[in-house]
Amino acid sequence: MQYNKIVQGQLIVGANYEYEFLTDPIYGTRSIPNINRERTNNTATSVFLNYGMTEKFSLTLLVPFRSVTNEKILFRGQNDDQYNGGKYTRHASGLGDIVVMFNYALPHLSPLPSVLVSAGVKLANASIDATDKYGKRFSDNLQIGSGSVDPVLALSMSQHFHKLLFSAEAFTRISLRENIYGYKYGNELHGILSADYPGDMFYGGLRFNYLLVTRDHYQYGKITRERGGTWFYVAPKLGIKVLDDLDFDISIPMAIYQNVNESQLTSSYQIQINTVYHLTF
Amino acid sequence: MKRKMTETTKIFYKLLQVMMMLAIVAGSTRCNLYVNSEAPTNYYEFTDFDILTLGKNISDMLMDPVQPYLYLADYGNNAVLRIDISGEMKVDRKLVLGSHPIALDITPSQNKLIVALNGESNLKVIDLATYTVVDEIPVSLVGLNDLVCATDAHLFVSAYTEANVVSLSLPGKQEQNEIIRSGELLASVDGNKIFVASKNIVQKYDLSSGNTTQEAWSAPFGFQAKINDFVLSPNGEQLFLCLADVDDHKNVRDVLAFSAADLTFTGKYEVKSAGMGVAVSKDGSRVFVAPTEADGAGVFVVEFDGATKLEKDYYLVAGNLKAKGIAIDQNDEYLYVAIDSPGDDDSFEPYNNNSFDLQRIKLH
Repeated sequence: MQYNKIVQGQLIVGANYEYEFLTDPIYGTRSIPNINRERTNNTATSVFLNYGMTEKFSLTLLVPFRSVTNEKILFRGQNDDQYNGGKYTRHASGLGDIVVMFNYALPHLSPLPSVLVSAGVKLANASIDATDKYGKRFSDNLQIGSGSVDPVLALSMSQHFHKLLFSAEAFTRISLRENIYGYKYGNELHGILSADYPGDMFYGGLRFNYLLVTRDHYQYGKITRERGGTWFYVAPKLGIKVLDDLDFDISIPMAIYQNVNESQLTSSYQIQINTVYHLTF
Repeated sequence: MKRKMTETTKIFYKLLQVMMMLAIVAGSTRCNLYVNSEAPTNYYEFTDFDILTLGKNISDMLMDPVQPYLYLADYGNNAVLRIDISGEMKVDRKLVLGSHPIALDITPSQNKLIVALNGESNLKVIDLATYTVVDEIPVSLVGLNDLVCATDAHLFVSAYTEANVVSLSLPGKQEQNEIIRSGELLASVDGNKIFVASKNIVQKYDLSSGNTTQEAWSAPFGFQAKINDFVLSPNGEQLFLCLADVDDHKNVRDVLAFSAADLTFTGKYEVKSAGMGVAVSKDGSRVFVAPTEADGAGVFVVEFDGATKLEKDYYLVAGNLKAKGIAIDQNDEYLYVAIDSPGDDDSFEPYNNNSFDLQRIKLH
């Protein structure tokens, strides 16, 4: 819960499960009909490792396993391999792009917030070659990898106030180049504000998440339609300390504002389940 | 590990916090890395659909030239529906007529609707003022396909099973075999010409002398086609022909246009698949084509400029389109299309795989 503090020799092992079911199309901020009855299931199960090398430096590794399933009903002629239309499914799953980050904790000077600066890379190890049942590679936004090595940067701070822990974080991933197919994802910026109540047995909190994603580009620079936008989520969280060193929590980010480029599928909520184990050597 | 802060450290931290906040704010507004203002060209407007749920197999569609009604031939339910389009669309009246109504036409005096029945050898006459059946006309043909009213007293009827059409003179209902080939029929505005689109040719016949004669003009199209729609522009100048090749759906990618005067080939309206239907504005300047196939983003009715024959606008529709399933209202304000929404086929309901609804589209 308090990642801003680095403990030398401590290994934090976490597992995270995220589920999102996108089925509500919107155009900008306006709800529109789902003409193809399209829906996308996104799940990601991630293993999180953080090791405190010194009291100032730690190393973080995030290893995601992703599954993306998109289904829709095609119209006649919408796909050459399925001329008369009907249900069409695209599915990709496997190891996602691994993220490696170095974290530096600035000296904590009470009563000022503790501050953590992080920098790293998102690797390009995940597959970007998933195909449909006709053997054709499908669009990049349904692949589990991006195909490019990109820098990631984060800055976070937290501050206790009475019994509450307030945190703020900015996280960004910047796309540097296109993948082998000429597709370049947009940049991402996350802004997170949260307040947590660290109880003895149970803990809980509320998080506000701002997400900005810029447009993707295809064929080395052409503007991609229906990608990018702005989202605001509010996420209540409830957790339990199963053991002294083992936490388990669930949070439900709920979309309170979504403004997307052109029309995109959205979901009104996500489910996130986390467990964290602290192991000190 | 905590230690006493120096003034310099305090200032440093304060600055750092301010920079963090600025970074977040800048990122969310106008920082170069996060600018989200570039946009592709938007070719169509995404609006909510205005749909009247019918679930009918609509075989023909005709706009009343005077009253705010649209007539739909409900092939599966042996009926003709009158749709009130003056406000929210609704089924205003339903007349059960006989087996499988397949084609509709309105008399030039605009007071009678003639209905051809495919499942029996009869035409039904509906009075448009009262919307009641006022007459029945027996025909010797089996498997009626189309009809056209050249005048109030002179009808032409074609059938799938016959090589030539027959004409009917009213009110005596005398039937006469004609030299006109069977196919989709149209009559000129003055009622003196008949146009026929048959499987491989468009032909024109003259009625002005009292005897039917074939004119020298013809427009062959070189393969055995299925005729999806055959439309005369309201100004009477252009014929629009929607062909399909049942053996090769990639063969036909355009709607063809011919001069009504001499059947010269006057235009190709490319929609990348066979046309299902055409609607034309009163002055002929706007041509709306319903294609067979969807684009990657959906199914669109494509508007063409009647003069340049270039694509001008796109109207997203909610499902697959239907032959003869497009009409434009009297004021050129709205299009009406029969649509088959995805997801309602392949269920356990019997005979529901040809289930069309009516969508109204406001023209730009």
